Amino acid sequence: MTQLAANSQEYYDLFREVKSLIDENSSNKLNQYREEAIEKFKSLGGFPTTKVEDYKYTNIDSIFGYDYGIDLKNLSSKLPFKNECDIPVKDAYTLYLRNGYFIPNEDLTELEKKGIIVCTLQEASLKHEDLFTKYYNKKAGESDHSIVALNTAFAEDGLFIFVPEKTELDKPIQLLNFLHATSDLLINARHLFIVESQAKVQFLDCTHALDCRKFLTNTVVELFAEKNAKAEYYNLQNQFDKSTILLNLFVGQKRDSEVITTILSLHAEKIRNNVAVDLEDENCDNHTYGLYLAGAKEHVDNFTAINHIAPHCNSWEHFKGILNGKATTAFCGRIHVYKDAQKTEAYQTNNNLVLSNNAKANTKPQLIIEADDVSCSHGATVGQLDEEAIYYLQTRGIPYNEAYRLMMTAFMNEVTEKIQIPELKERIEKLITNKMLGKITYCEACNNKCVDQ
Amino acid sequence: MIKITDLHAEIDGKEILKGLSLEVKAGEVHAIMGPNGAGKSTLANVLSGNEAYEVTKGEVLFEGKDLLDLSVEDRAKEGLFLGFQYPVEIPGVSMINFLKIAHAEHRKYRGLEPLSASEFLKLLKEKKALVEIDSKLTNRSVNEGFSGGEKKKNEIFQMAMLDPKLAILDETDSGLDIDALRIVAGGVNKLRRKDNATIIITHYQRLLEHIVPDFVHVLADGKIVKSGPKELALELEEKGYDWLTR
Repeated sequence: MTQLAANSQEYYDLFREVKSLIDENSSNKLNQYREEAIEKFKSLGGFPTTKVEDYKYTNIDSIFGYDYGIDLKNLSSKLPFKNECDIPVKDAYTLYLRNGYFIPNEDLTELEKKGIIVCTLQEASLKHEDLFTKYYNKKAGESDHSIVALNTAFAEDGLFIFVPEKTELDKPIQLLNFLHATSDLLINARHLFIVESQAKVQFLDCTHALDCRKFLTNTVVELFAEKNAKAEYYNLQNQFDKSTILLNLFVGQKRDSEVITTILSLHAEKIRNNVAVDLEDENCDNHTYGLYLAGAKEHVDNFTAINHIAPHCNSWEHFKGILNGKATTAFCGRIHVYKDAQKTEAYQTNNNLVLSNNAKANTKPQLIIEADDVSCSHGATVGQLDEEAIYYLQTRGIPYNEAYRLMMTAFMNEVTEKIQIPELKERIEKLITNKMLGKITYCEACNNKCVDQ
Repeated sequence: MIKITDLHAEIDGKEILKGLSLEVKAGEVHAIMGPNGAGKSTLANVLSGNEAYEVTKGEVLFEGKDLLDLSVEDRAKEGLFLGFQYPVEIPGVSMINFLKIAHAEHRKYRGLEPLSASEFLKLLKEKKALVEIDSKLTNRSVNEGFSGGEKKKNEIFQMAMLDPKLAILDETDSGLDIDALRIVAGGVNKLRRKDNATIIITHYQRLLEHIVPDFVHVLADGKIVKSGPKELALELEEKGYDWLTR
């Protein structure tokens, strides 16, 4: 690689400058990954611009061109607020994070009683070294996305959850990450979730911005489902007008496992989700879902790669979006069926409902099939609201607004009906309605009204 | 019930209704027949408030109120029902939810609370029996994947649920086999009362063997060109429309 462009060089230099400080605030184990990661960041060419095919619709370079602060001494162990927030799910084990750093609370004890290990990554790297070494950066380290390498270089800490064999949880584990800062901030959040064989768990990951600052979160989540495990991971992206969300989600599945991931993109200035799923052993089921509502000048880009490495695996992928105002969205879904992955069944659908003349939806399915006995399909639609259906509803006495709301909810139904946490499903449906009616979508109890400031 | 006077309406600048007048009183069933392109469906759409059509002249009084001044939904809640020629499929909106909302809106308009869940289910069951509609259909999305006959039955089922004062049935017989026709007609007959009225728009005399109208009107080139008793339908069947439009 020749010279890095200015923004990338700046971060490369910054790393060199602050590496000792990062090391000091992290663990030796975590530090061992940094050097290789920053060089990988460099060799991948740094931040991609829209000239890079996989980033055609989202300019990462310009996102990092903004002068964000970076907090390397986040040692606060307190939550920055009195907990009166309108949390997504009340019936859950709730874990709190501040700017990506885990802050233990009493729900942790309950989880520990059930044998679940919940701790910081630093602690895991010391106390559970075998597990840490076996899993940490195993998927992320193979990624060709330079922002993932950047995260590995900079992330000092994060959350570690280990669900032991045959453990089933009665309630979801809910992660509430609060962004709190006195200046604009870049956060490299990093989580590692391991679901052991025959264990069953639901994760709900939700980030709230508490201050009217520009926040850029570059999050890496690695989720491993061992033999016959069942894991669900929901990511609720509902921040505010100045937030940029970069989510890099890696899923590794072993034999007979089932994983459902759902990304719910409701509110942020810019969102880019990279999802990579590896079906490594036979007979895995994977469901990768997403819904996005983008209005005003919001931008949502979902980039997914489902890798069928082993035979007899099934995957279902469905992303649905509604666009309004001057919103832009992109969906790129890549299904890669490896040579040995015979009897693969892989299905992919992306549907877009475009409500305004100025909104733009891009969609790009990609199938790479190397095996010869597989069943794959993909479908993409970009359409407008069915005015005739609204008229039909109106002739039955249903007012226009209500008919409109019904149509929106119906459109999203194929994704929302797959949410396995009833309370979350209900809440998402309400949030969709609110957003469609132009109301706020973030939590109503929040003192902080960041919209349009 | 409804009094239409000198109604003119156009779509995309093309005049379709050219001075149509018609009065329907409570307890009556009127049939409107006529050749293709005469304006039959336009009349149905104009009365129910489809915005694609523009009324350029004329007046419609519905129970003494200026109908053309009302929104689509308010016309429905005043008691006007349109049975669609081509009922729209609405994936993702369940029949039950749709009916529940529509029924509650009608009640709200009259200052009433929505029915309780059990009351609503009771009503649903009662009306389902009336049109012999399969429970499987009411558990699905609105009209989604319904056969032609099921869609038409579903229109009559909705009519039964909403209990309108005036029902306009647009080509309800089209695409029906004889059994479905019998069920649909049977449903309409059972809903017939002294205080409601029906306008049947149809191409064929066949439906009128099952639903006997009090009056038959011939609509041609945007106007009613002939009105008469039910026997007029038979005459039309025999002679066609040419002798009236020449």
